[in-house]
Amino acid sequence: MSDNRPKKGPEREISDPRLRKQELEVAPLLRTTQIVIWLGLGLLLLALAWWGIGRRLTWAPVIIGGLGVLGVAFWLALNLPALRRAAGTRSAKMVLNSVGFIIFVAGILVCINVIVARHHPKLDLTKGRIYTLASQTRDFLKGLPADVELVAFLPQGDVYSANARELVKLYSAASPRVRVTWADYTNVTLAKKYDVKYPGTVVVQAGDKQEKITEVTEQHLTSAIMSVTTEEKLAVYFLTNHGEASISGGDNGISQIKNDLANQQYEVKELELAKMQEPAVPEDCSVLAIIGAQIHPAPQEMAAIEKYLENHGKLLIALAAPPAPDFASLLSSRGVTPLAGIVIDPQSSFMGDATAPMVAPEASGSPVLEGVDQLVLPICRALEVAGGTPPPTMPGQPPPQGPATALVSSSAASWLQPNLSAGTKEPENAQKGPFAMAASIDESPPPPPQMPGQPPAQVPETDATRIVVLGSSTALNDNLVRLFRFNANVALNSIAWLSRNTRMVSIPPKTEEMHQLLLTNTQKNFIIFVVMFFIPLAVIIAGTLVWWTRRR
Amino acid sequence: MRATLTIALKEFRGYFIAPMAYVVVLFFLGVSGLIFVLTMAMPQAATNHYRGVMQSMVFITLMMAPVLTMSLLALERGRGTLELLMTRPVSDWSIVLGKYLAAVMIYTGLLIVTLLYPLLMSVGGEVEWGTILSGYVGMFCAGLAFMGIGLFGSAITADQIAAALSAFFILLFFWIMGFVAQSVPSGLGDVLNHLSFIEGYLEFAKGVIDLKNVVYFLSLAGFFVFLAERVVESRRSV
Repeated sequence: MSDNRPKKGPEREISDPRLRKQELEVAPLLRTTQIVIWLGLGLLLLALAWWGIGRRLTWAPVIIGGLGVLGVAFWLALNLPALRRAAGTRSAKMVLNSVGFIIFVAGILVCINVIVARHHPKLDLTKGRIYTLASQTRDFLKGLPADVELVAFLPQGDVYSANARELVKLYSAASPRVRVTWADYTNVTLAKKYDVKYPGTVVVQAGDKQEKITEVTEQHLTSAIMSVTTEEKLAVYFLTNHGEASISGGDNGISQIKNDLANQQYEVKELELAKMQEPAVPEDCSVLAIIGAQIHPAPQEMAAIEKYLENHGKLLIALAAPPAPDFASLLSSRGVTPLAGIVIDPQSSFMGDATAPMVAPEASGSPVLEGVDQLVLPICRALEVAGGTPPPTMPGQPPPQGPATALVSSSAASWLQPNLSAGTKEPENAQKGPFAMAASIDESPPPPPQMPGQPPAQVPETDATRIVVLGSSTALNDNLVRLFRFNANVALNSIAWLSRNTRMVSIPPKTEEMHQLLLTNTQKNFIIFVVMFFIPLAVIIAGTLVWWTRRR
Repeated sequence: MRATLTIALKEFRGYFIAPMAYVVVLFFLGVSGLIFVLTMAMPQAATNHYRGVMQSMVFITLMMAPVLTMSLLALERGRGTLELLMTRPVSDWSIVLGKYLAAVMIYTGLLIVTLLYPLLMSVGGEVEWGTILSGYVGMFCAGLAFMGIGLFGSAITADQIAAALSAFFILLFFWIMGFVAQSVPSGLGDVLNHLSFIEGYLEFAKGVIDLKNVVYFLSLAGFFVFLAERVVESRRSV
């Protein structure tokens, strides 16, 4: 049976010789256009690949891409009539209709995704809410006094940058005043503009103030934002020339704490009272720190410090082990007396070393201990705190705090070792613990008692002498602080409390708590049996039964 | 709705008649069980390491989904029964959704069985159930997307092997998007990262349920089920 239907497309026979001639003439041109379309598409792909690999839009991919677009446009222009004819058929209309509908639905889904990606609420189900900003940061961001831009030079592809990017996103989600600009580190112009030398840097800027951070943690980021939005810097002076721990580092140095303070926008300075003709603590001193003095300051220096304290001065003092000075003349009259000996605590110690008690702070509610779970206080002087037990109070009222308060204490099993050279052997007549190992002194007048049914009285904040005493200066040295971050937090919290700079409390790093898996051999074997044998066997038996039943 | 459920239940029962479903279930439970046991036997093992097991399970699902869904529409087309089904008073959506639901039901059942792993693990240490819950929500959402893509693969061809392979390549494309994102400029990289299965699931595994990721997986599932419906509908029009 012959097929009488007219042939379509290239197989169609052209009866008119003029048309046949014309078609023969245009055939090479049509073949050329076929080559042009493929060449155009190829060039477009090449341009995309070039751009992708080079990670930068240079002239070369633009020119190649442009040629590709021209090629495609040329083909479209030549084939427009044919395309129009094809688009007019019923099936083409149906296909176009369907494609349009699909593009419409895809567009809606893309829009929804873009909107949600910009304002995406998160539910952090981890135990310590480790992927949520700390309350200090959130509170600070709520009252942010200026617009802040975070220029993040955080490359794709490494874990550190990925975590940092997530952290930066949390800031922009927490406040509409924080704007994030993702910057390409390989863009030399941009890197030069912000003077960025390392990838993984975030530039924090507000107005004409700028801070750069290379360690992108919540603490550093919050501190940097505080820095660029706060007008004044508080000065912290570290007393030197008496064998104190050096803020420049070195043996028993405290450079880590100095860096942390600088990150929190304190101005850290050294104070050489001994070299002054008339020793005096500078007027701009917000906090004076004496960390591990080995020799006693001269009487004129002590007089200057005493005068500073009498004028509502603020002092952070960390005592070195005997025979170093105990600064009793400054502290005893204010309710804290250093005892002659160090605390040995065999019950709770760091890595089994009884000379390094490890203590959990008492629930005192002191801002000095905020976010501090544990403290290691090696070679720690015992302190006697006057009025350590609060006096009786009105029913239902919080206990009034005396000027001196013990912050952390050793266990009841501890004792006082008068001489460290005697080792950790308990002497026969040893004074038994618990001993205070850190204390705070606040000479602010206590708030008036709240009467039943009345709102708490508003007391204007008055300036008064404040002191934080740590029995151990070793607790703050770089080596221990790197191992035990909580120790640094105590120092930072103390300085924040002393300087009444309550916004600059430290934010402890949030780390995932590992839960060790401890199984007996029997438990392990049982689990292996259930998982590897019982469950698969049940599936096999069920399958076999079904197959057997159906076979019959 | 009733028609959808009827088709879903019929398909669900059909799974247990054919041997392929048992092989797939055995493969999923066997491999994930083996990874769980090996993780547990590691020195310094911690219950937190179950996160890695969950990530592995997502990858196993990626391999399993095309096989689980390949017969849904391709078999009907191959046998010529799809046209028969279309003569019944059921809409294309009922057919497509019913078949999709059947695959999702099987997958959900598998996930429920694997919940036994953290339960067994809780004997030897504290388990952070919040993180486990988040991981399972992520596995479920990812599974919905995988099954959707599998269904689409099954809709475009009458050959089951071709259906499974097409679905697998689409899944693989979305899987490797995260790796590609690392070698392209930042803006494009962010888009590719958002499209990547790995990036989408990692947040869940960390213990964070981000609405962005939930919406991503659900839209992907919805889009591919919609595409499958379009393919079925186009056959009705031909």
